[in-house]
Formats: sequence, structure tokens, C-alpha cells
Amino acid sequence: MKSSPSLIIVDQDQMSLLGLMMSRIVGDNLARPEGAARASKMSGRLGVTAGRMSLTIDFNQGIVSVTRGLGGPVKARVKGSLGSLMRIALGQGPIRSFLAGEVSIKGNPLFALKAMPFFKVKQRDRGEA
Amino acid sequence: MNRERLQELFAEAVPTSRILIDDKTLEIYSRDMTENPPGSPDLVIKIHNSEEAQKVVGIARANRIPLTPRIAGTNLGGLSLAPRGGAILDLTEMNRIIDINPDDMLAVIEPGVTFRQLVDELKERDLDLTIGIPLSPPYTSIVANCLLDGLGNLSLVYGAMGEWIAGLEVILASGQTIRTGAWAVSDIPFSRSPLPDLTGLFVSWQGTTGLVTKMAVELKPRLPMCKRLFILTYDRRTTYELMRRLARLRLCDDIGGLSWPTGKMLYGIAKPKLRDPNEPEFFTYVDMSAGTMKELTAKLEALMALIETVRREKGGDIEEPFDIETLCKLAPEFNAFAEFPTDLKFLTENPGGGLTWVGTYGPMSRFERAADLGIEIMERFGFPPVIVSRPMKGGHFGVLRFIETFKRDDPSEVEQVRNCNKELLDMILEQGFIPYKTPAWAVERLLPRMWPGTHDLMRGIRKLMDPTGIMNPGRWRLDPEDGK
Repeated sequence: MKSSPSLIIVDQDQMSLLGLMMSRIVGDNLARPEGAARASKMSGRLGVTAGRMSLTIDFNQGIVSVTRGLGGPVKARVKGSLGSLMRIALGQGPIRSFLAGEVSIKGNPLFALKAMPFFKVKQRDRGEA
Repeated sequence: MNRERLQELFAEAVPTSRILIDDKTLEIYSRDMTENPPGSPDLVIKIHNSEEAQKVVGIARANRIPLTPRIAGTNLGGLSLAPRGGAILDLTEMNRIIDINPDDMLAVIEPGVTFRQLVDELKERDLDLTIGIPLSPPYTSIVANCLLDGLGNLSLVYGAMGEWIAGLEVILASGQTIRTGAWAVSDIPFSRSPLPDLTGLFVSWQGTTGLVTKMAVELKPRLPMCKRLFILTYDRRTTYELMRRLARLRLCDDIGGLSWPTGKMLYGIAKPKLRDPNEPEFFTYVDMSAGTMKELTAKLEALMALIETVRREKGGDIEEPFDIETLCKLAPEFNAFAEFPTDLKFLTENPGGGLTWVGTYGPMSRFERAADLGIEIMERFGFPPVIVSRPMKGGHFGVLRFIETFKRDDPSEVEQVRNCNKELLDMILEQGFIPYKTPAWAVERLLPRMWPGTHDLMRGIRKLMDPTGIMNPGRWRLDPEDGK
């Protein structure tokens, strides 16, 4: 899988399908100047659970690593069904999903919301631009 | 007889420029993607029409030269190799679409016509007709897939592709040309009925009973509204339960369950070996079509209701379905599943170059047990458990395939894949499944289980139709030199 040099997929051979899909989207966002700039200002770990699958995404001053499962302390944890997280990736606002009860956020909600743009498929990726 | 002499002989039938005897060409034609031992062809003849084919058969018969037909050479049974030497008949350039009859929903085609070619032609003519399309590359042959009784994306509704054949034109080993089905009498090859069904003499016989030069194939209506959905399930029991129930509802054109390694291979992981226990075990694509949006919506509602029922009754963990467009936006890697025919390059162009399977048809009631045992075998041999399962013919039976990619140039890995396949085959035969496009090595293991007399009858038919044994010898153990 091609991705940004600032993205690390830990044990890629053992990564879940969710992890591979998310890594692809995060990598595409990191490859953009605005994404790279945003990542360089972020630090901390985010836990993501979609359906039964979980990931830990570690933002470390421009380098983002994706690890299978939830491990260690996280600043925030986002949890929802696979479908609800897919809708966020496709552009549905995370706040709307949160208010609708489709997604729960534990820990620091501001950190979670700050990380959300990395999980969003950009319009030009979708061939809509 | 040396190659030059053979070239001279066949030059009476085909221009010398299309009779190839150089080492490089013969090397290419001696191999395929599989682990089957290479063939040893003495020459390759590129046939362009029935007249040439008939003359070639006559020369081969007179000189007892084996003939092995080949088109794309992508079947995973090693069936287009030439284990006993002789001539490979390359039929790729015999590729005319002779007729498309929209009123009777038929096409008459030559062996080299590919799925891409016919699909494009139907589009070009703006016809609302289609053909069953397999999960094999677009350049593969429709005739070969039908004659080998493969399957396509409408086999859930209409059965294996052998059943799509409405009639054949065949050159027998005697040199005589015959037609089967209604085509033997009528100018329109409308059906295999109502004459004695001689078409069956050529389906799954792997070219041992004659050389098919034309095929009339059924086309099916292509409905204007269609939807491809993906459903993720966390365990195979839920997958198969859903598959069986869905097949019976007559909602779908196709249902295909692919096990977890497939998704990762799309992302370039050649041999995913470890499954996250929390990730879905199968992703199942479901194709639906309808004449109107209202009908399609009703089908989707019925699908959702069924999913809810399986969740409730069986406790199955099933994610909400999403359509292929959504999936491709999120993961462009899945574009390979967006439209058929498709080339699943993670299989056909895998880094090791080798691709094989134990591909079987069998009772869907035993999918779970066969998959359990197959996964154990594949993992023990170090292969990711790539499984494809699809119901066929309304759910009367299904296809269950265990697929391996391997390093074709690594003898130890080739040996490993052979041993793995033998174990898989013995297991699956025990479960009552039967390999289709059956490779020679699998025939050896299948025959001891065949009903007494059946194989004798097959040998008798072969002797009757091809007494000199020139037609694709080495298949089904049909000839005296094969032993009993």
C-alpha cells in the first residue's frame, strides 16, 4: 500500500482490514500540505473502535502511526458502528453522529474532533472535484 | 517426428507463419500459472477458422499426433498444457462473434471470443442482454468457461455455465463436423431440448471428445436497476447461514463470500497470515437487479429484513451492508469488484507468479464443515485461508474454492502447494464435493471414489469418439496407456 512517508503502519502484515482502510485515508490526508501541517501540531493517542475492530492512532509531531487494537493510555476514544464511522469518513459531520448517538467519544473530545479530519475522504479522492 | 517435419505436415492446413516451433514459444506454451508439471508441446498452431481446424484434426489423426486446445491458458486445472506432447491448438485468433440474436437471446461465438469482447459488443449494440461473467480476467474465453462448466455472476440464478450452452458445432476426431441441440435441425440454436442431449458429450470432457469450433450460448436479460452491496460478517457460520437463506429468497443475481485474506491482498499484502480475531471473517458481495426502482427497493428491504432475522435467530454478528460505490470511495482498492469482467490482479499478478486452487462444487449444507477443515489444512501448510464461496442454481449447490498464491519458480514452495492441495482435495471429496475443471492430479484421487461402471462408460465413450486418442490425451484417465 502506498502511503505518506510520515505514516507508519505497525505490523502491516497483521493489520486488520479496518486498519488498512483507515491507514490509507490517513496517509492520503498526511500527503497534503494542510494535513501534514495539522499533524505536525498534534501529539497524543486516539483509540478508534468500529464494530468489533479497534485501532490506536498515535500522533507524534507530524508522524502518525497506526497500531492494531487498543493499547496504552489514550487521550480520547471514539467508538461506533462500522457504518457510522464510514459515514464520518465520507463527510457526515462527527458532531452530528455524536449527537445522534451513533458515535461515542470518551476522554478529551477536543482532541478527538481535531483528529477527525484525518479520517475524512477528501472530495478529490472521490473523483468529485 | 521432429518439429520441422511436424511443421511441414501441418503446413497443408495452416500457413507456416502460424505454426510455431521455436524454443521460446514452446516454453511459454508449456507452462501456466499453476503447480501442474509443465507440458511438452512439439509445436503451436494458431487456428483461424473451422476449415483449418478440420484439416489439422485430419492430419493429427492420420499421424497420431496429440492435440491440446488452448485459449487464455488461465484455467487453474492445468488443462491447456500438453502432457503428451504434440500440437497445442491456439484458438485465441478464432474469435468471431458470428451472430447475436436479441429476440431469442442467443449469441453464436467462436472459441477465442472473450468475456470482455462479448460484453463490449452487447454494449455497443445497446442491447439489454448479458452473459454470466466469471471472476477471471476479461481476456478469458467464454467457450472454454462453458465447456469446462465454470461459473459466472449469474450462476446463482441460471446454474453453471455448461447449462448456458444452447448448441455446439464440433469437429470430431473422425473429421466429421456435427451440431448439437436444436441446432442439429433448426437454423436457430434455441435450446439443448428436445433432441437427445449430445451437448453433454462435450461439457466437462476437457476436450477429449471433440474440438468445439462454434458455440451458441444463451444471453440473459440485463435489468436497468442494479445494486452491489457488501456485507461484513464476523464468522463463517453466520456467512453461510445468510448465504443459504438469501439464495432461497430469489432476490439476488449473485452472492459471493470472500474470506478475510482477500481484502488484505487487495492492499498489497501478498500473504496475510494472521487474522485480527475482532475483524470480519468474510465479506460477502450481493448483486441485485430489478426492472424498476420500486422493485429494487423492495428487494433491498427484504434483504435488510433477512439480515435482522439472522441476527435475531442465530445471534449472527452482521455489519450493516454498504454499496460498492461507498466502499470504493473509502477504499479505492475495492474498485476491482466494481464492475465485471474484472482482473483480480492481486491473484493473477501476485509477486510469486503462481496461482492455484482446489475449486469444487458441492452441497451448501456442508460449507461450514468443509471450510473448517480446509482452513485448518491451509494454515498448517502456511497459506492464508483464501476461500471463495458462492451459492449456485438457486442454492441447490454451491462453489467452494481454496485458493493459493505461491512462488512458481521455487521448487520447495511448488511441492508445498501440491501437498496442501492433495490434502484439501481428499478432505473435500470426503465431504461430498467434486472439483470442477478437474486437473489430472485430482482425477487420480477422485476416480477411486467414482461409482463403479461410470468411469468404464467414460472410457467407452472416449474410445468410440476418438479411437486414436489424439484429443487432449492425459485427461480423465480415458486411454489404454493411462492404465486402469
